[in-house]
Amino acid sequence: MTETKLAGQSGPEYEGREEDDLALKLLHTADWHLGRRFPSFPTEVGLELMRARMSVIDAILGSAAHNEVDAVLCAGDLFDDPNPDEEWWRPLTEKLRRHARPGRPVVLLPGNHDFLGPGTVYHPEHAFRQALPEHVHVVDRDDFTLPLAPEATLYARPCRSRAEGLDLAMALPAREEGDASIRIGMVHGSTFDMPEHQTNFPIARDAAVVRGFDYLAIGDTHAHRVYDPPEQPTVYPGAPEPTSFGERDVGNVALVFFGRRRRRPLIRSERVARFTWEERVIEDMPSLRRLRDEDLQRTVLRLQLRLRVSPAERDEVEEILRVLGGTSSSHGHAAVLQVDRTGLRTDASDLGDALLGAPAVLVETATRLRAQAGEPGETGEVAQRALYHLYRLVRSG
Amino acid sequence: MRLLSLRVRSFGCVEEARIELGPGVNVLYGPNDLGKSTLAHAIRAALLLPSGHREAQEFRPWHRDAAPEVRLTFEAPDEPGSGALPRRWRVRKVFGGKGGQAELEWSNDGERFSLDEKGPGVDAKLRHLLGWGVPEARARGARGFPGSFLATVLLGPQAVPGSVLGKGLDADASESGRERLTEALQALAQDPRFKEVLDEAQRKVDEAFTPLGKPKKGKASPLTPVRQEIEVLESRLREEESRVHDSDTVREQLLQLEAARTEAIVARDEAEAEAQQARAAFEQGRARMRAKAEEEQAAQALEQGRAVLTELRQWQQAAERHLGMLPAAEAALERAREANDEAQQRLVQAEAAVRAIEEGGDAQSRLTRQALETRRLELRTERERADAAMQRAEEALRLRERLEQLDEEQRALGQDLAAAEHAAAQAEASRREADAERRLYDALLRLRRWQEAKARVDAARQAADEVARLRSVADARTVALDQEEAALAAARLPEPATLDAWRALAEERRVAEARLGVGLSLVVHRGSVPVRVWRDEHEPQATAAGQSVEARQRLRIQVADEVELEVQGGDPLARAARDAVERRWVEEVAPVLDGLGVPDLSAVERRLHDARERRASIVRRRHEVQRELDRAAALQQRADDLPQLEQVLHAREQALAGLDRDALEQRSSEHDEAALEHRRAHAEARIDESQHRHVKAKARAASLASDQRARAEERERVHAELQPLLAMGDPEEERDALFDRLAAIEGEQETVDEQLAEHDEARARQRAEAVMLVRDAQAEADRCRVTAAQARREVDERREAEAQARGRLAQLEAQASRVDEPALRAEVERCQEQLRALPEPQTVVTLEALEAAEAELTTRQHAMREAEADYEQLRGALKHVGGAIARERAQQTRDALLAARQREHDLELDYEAWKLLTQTLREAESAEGRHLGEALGEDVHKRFAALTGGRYGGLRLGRDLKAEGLEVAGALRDLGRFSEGVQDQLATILRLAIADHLGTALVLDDHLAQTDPQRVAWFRELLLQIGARAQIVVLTCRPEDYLHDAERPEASKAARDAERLRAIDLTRVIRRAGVT
Repeated sequence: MTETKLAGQSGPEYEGREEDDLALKLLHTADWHLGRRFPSFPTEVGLELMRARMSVIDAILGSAAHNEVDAVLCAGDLFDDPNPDEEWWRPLTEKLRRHARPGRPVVLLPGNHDFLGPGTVYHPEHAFRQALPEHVHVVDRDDFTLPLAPEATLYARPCRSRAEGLDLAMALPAREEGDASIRIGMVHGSTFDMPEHQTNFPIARDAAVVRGFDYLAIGDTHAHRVYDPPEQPTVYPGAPEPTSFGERDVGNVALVFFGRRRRRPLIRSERVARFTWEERVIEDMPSLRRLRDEDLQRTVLRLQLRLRVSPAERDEVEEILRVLGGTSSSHGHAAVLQVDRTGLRTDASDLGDALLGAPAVLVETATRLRAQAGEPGETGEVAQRALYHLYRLVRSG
Repeated sequence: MRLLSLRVRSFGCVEEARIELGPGVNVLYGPNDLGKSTLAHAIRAALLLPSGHREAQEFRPWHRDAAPEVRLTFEAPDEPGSGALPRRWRVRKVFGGKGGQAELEWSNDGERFSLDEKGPGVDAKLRHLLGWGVPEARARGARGFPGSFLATVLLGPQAVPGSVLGKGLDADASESGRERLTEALQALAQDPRFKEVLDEAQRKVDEAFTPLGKPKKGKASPLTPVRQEIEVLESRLREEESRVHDSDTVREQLLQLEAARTEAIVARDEAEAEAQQARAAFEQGRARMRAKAEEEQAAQALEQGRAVLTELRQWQQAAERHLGMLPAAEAALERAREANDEAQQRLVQAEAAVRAIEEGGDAQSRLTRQALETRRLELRTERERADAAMQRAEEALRLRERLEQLDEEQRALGQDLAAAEHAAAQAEASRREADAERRLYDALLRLRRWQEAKARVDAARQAADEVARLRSVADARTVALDQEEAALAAARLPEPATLDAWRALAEERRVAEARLGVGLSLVVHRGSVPVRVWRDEHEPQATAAGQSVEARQRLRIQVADEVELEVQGGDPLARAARDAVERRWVEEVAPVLDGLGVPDLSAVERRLHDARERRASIVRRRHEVQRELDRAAALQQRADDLPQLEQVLHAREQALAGLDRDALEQRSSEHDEAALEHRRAHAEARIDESQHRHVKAKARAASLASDQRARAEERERVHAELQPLLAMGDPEEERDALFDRLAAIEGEQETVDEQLAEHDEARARQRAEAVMLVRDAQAEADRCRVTAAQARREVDERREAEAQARGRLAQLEAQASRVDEPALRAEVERCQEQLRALPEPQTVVTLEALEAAEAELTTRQHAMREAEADYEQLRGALKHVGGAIARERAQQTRDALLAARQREHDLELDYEAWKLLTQTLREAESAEGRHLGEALGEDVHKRFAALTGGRYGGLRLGRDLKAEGLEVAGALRDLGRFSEGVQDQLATILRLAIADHLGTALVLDDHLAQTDPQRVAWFRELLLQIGARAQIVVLTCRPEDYLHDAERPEASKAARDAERLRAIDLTRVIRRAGVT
């Protein structure tokens, strides 16, 4: 089984065909991680990112409606914790209810983050379960099956703990002799090529083939991935909203199409994310200045500043960062801005004309600080900063 | 720093002096040569001069050989200029070369002092406390008085103008003086922009650091939120890493177990394959074996058939043989039974003999033993009685000895008790004596305090009277001044500017008139009528024909009574101008002149000059009135204290009630107050000491009495115990008798015990012999029984063998009837054929080998099951660990922690940068010392201008406060060009300004000697102003310059206090050497 990345691939071969040609249409999603916190960000920003995870559900369910899929498969880790606060599960039930459509079941699978167990959100006695509309099904049995279409059945098995060495895909029932229906498997876990998959619900290389599934819908890894063979693919749809910097092929759901003639399923990756997470390394002022003109309204931007600037340039850097990140009174150009200043050095040895006409004692102060600014290590750095403080004070006066 | 008290002994011309100084201005006055300057020297020496310094030679007493001694008490904070609460210090120095001594003590309450430094450390500490830039104390014998610019300014000796004005901080060996001044003058010295920058930088520093420069902690620190975040994240990370570790451990184990399980499965599979092969080979071998067995079985059946026939024959012979041997065996059985019966009978007899011996043998033997036992018991009882008697005798002897010992102790305790009671009585007497003494000195002190209170009340009353008088005079003078001022206002004199305008108008008028003065000439040629002519302003004159009349500008001519002519000179414009000026004069000036009744403007000017003089006089007199009122206000405070002082007096009066005041007054002159205090304290100490001794002696007596009682009780108890014992006889004799009796009993006991042992030994021998007989009989009986049993078995065996042979014969006969020998031979041949049909196996697997293979398989299966179980168990454990989630969350927390640490580091560097900036700003400011001169110069300039009425410009001070010259008429002039009086005044103003800014003590020794009384009065006011912030000690021989009469102490007193002013009559506090 080899991995085939389909992100960005053009539409499926079924596009433009008559509806009757399609035996089954699915929307496959996973890893919503509702309630996930972002401790690296300031509280307000973290809340905004958390809210975005809830907002993306509308986009997912909207896409399902738009594409008129037969079922929505949610392959685990919809919540970041098995016991989320009501503020996370209650709105989800409302969204599911709002987007409900008869004959389009939504199947929720407990993953390793939100595993099934006594007292957890998926437990039949939990208020979340009571509040779910009828068309929403929770995989709360090991022998869960659900007819998706006249000739299509879903087989799924839930995670019951955070970690497990059991291959849930291999634990699903195998195709019986003479069974020609479309068999969809759904489990949550790590494929054989993931590090430490052995303890994270490992999924065998040939599980789909061995158990006779036409499509094995899985969740866990946030990137979109498709594993061979194309006739019986194993698919990670990717997280619908990015979680951290450096994630690739993220922010999508997978739309899956089965033709009546039982050829291989076609998979289309559709973007639903609100934010794009981007990390940029800035090593010169022109690059930084160019950022002001970019459209970053939906970008969570992390800037690594690796440049040495004069005091005047430092002022400009701060001004650009204010423009990008916003202030108490104005929104920034970027949706969210995170700045790593560890590589930003202000060379305040030359204060320009800032001290022209200043009292001699201030000039003397600058001279003394300059003498220390050339020293290596923190001594020099502190002196540089002191010079910059002096520069700012003199300028502001 | 503030000086509190000075005590000098054997110092130069001063034999002894004690001075208590007030907080404001202290005027210490006395005649020349009294030793005023010596006191100033003493203060300098106490603060600056090491006790072993060569300069101290100057202070050796003039009239005798003694070590000069100074004790100075002062207040100063631990760090100069720190603003911290001051601490009280007391320095004592005895000057004398190698024998010099120095001590520095400190106190928080001014009463209890603790040693801080001793010896050479004292001067180093003093220099630190002062912060005047005085160099470190030099070695003993060094030359030159240690000093600095500030030391000279604040404590300088007489004739200092040059030394103050001609020097600056640049000559100081230490920077502390400059730092101190820089700090004190900072607010004045800073440029506004610099100050803004410094204030902002300091504000940022204050956010993160304490005043001592240490990082703030807790909520006060701006780093606290990020540090708390770091703590939370670190704690969370520890937990998460622990979970990750657990997960990793489980995962590692799981991988190992999975490998082990796979290995076990492979091993199991291999073992299974091997077992299967072995099983097949074995089955093959077994089939061949079965065929062989069948063949053998067939052969065997054939053989068995043949054997049955053979055996049948043999059994027929055996049955006959057994039948023949049976009678002999039965006879042997009968013989054995008889022998057994006899042996049993002998055994019964032998056992009866043993029992008889164990029961005691014969009657004689039993009686003998019983008698011996009885005697032994009697002897034991007798011995117990003798032991008890012996104990009683020994107890009686012990008690008698204790009784004698107690009598001896009682005697010794009686002596000690008498001694202790005597000591208590002595201590009580001593206490009473000391108490009487204390009451006496207490009364004397009360009398003194009453006298003091009375003096204060008198003073307050005098002050009240003086206040009333001063206010009355001031009111009267104020009314007179008001009237005078009203009269001046009523005079309506023109303003000087108006007068100037009028003068201009007068001049204009004069010029206008002059322009008309062209010259006129009139000649009467003929006529007979009289002609009268007015020329200019002159009187008319009669003019006759032929006469001529000359005028300057106007002529009026009257001809007879009919004609009157007027001729004016000048052009019409000049005339019009003159008329206009004249009109203005008439309208503006003339009425005023008329109003004032003066003829011209000169008179008006004189009037104005007189009015100015009078106004100045009024202002001066108002100032005088104000000074009187100020004095009255100053005295009023003292008068205000009168009720309180009267209450104090009343209270002290009451405290004297019941005392013989006359007698006390007679004695009160014997000692001064300090001596009385000392003696009262001494008496109190004696009371305490006597009470302590009394209590101690009483306690000792009580303890001894208690011991005595305890011993008496013990004696009674011992006596009571001893009496009944003595009643039984002399214990010593009884003890000796008992010793003999016990020896006899012990001897007899030994004899009885030996006899009993012999008796028991004989019985034991008899029993051993009987037992041997029983054993022999038993052995014989056993042998007979065995023989009988053997005979019985022989008979039974014969009978059984015969029966068996008969049975077997019957069986064999039946079997023999079924044996078909030909059929059996045919079967054998078939089996041999079948065996030949089976192939030989390639490997021979024995049953053992097969079992071994099976066992190996079982072991492998077991191992595999165990591996499976372990694996499953660990999988169960895996459910309880964090797995990938834990790692993911740990990474998330690690990222957040890294970011928080970076933020913390960034903040730390930023605040360190603010701190560095603030330090550098201050250092740069300190280096840019020009400010000191500029800042202080302004202060000095203002005061000097006020003193001199603005006659001079500012005093130019250099960066090190060195005077560079005085500005006069825009030019800087060298100070040497000014009089000594002016230099002295400048120096004094500079010194006062420095003391004012530093808030420290200033000693002015005989300054302003060449200053006129008016300026001295001005200085007095300045001293009183600055005295509110800094202490000033003025040593002068001209008390009238600084003190009003009312401010001087009474004739009997050494000092007198007014507001911010203490006057000290040095003649009352200095005892000069050589004066008796």
